Amino acid sequence: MILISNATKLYDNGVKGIDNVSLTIQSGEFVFIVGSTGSGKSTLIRLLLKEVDLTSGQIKIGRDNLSDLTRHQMPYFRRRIGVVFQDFRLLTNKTVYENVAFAMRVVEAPNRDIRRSVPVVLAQVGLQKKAKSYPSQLSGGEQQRAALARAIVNRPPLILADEPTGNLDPGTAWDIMGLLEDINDRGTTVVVATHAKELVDEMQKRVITLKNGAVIRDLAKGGYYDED
Amino acid sequence: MRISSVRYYVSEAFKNLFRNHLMTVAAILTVSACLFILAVSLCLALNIDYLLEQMEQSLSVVVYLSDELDADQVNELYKRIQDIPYVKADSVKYISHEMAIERFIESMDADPSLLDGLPDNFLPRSFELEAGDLAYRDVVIEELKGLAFRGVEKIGNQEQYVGLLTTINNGIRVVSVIVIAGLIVLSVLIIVNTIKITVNSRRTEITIMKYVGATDWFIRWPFIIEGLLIGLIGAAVPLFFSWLSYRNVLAVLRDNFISVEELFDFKTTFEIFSLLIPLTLILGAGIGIIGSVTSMRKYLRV
Repeated sequence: MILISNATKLYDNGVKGIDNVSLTIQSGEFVFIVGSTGSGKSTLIRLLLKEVDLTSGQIKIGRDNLSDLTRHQMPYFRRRIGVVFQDFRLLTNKTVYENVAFAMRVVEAPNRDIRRSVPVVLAQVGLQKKAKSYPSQLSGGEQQRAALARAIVNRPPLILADEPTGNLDPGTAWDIMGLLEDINDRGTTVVVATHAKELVDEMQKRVITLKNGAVIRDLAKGGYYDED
Repeated sequence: MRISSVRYYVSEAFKNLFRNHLMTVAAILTVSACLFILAVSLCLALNIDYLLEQMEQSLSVVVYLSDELDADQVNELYKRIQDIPYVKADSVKYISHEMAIERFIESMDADPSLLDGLPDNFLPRSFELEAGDLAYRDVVIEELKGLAFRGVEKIGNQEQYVGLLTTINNGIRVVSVIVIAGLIVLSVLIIVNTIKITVNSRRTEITIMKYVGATDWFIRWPFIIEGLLIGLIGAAVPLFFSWLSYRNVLAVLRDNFISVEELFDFKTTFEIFSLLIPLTLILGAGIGIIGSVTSMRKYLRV
């Protein structure tokens, strides 16, 4: 699913984002990427989204080699990835329903499909009763559920989550992780960059630890270890 | 493009126009103000051009005839002159001795008795004719000289006026083109700035659209429609007001200066607006779309 080889990202200001990282993530895996602030987690997610470009090395997602993607191909590439952010990034002037429907409009799905799929996905994240609410009327957890619904409504093979529980209290964080696990159980590859030590320890998934931009640990069923 | 997408673009455009109603009004007023000035300058320029054209045409070429020519020869010359290319055939007029004297008296407002002692033929007979266009005048005069018809005494040409008129005419054309081009650039700039303010607030929205995989065109279309609507409304307002003013100004001129009307004709409201309406609408639409699209362009690069 994801193949990263000798990937290095140097920012223009000389800061090293990641340093010679090589990784393989199989289709259907659930992977945590952990590490302290500045370890390169966010850079890795941004690289996978092609929000920034590699300095050297190569990243392949599915059949796409990221450095070969043209500007024209970008939207179609991004449609195969569902993204979840720490700050939710919902459209504030649209209801929950419209926010989710929006992701389908963008791919020019027929109205019939939109009317059918959106309620199903909202039920999956437990927001069917909040469909007509605006983001400002929702709690943080509910907003993240809405964002999650938007990320999965087009059934992408890969979900990238950047600190999805960073703004949430522990109980709500568990709910979101449960939903991500649920999505993973249905066959979607899930990559989560996080700080949430307890969640990672408890869930016993693959954990990749980054430090100063390099992979220092990669455990198949691991926990979150503080750096030595 | 799907029908549902088109419906979505249009409804988004309308929503945005109402959501940012203050900036919508500001943008429409800007376009209106610029296009109004443009409409007024165009009305003036077209009329001045038209007046000069009429003056140009009223300047005729005069061919003076020697008294040696008999009636048959005069007739033949008349036909030859009519055959010269660029001469407006129906403009060729024969002025007899008597007509010349009548005109002289009329133009000088003189007492006919003053001429009593003079012979009947003291003023020469002549042909007056018009060239289709000022530009062809010289060609026509050359042709007349080339006729080498015995008995043509002199060819009169109001050269000093012709040159002056051409200069004024060209000057006015250049000035109005510069003024109009300047106005168009200015209004695009103002529109870009006005719309930029709202696009800035929609920046997050555009970023999110990019993350869920929207193509650039999908993001652009609502902006294009929005700009188009602003431009069209911004064009309709000044069109209405300039139409109203033009009609009234013409009416006032006609009522108060009858003599003006006799000397010169103004472009009719229909003539002016059959040009002004399509021009202003196209310009308005263009300004709106260009303004809207340029102001959002940089946010597409995410």
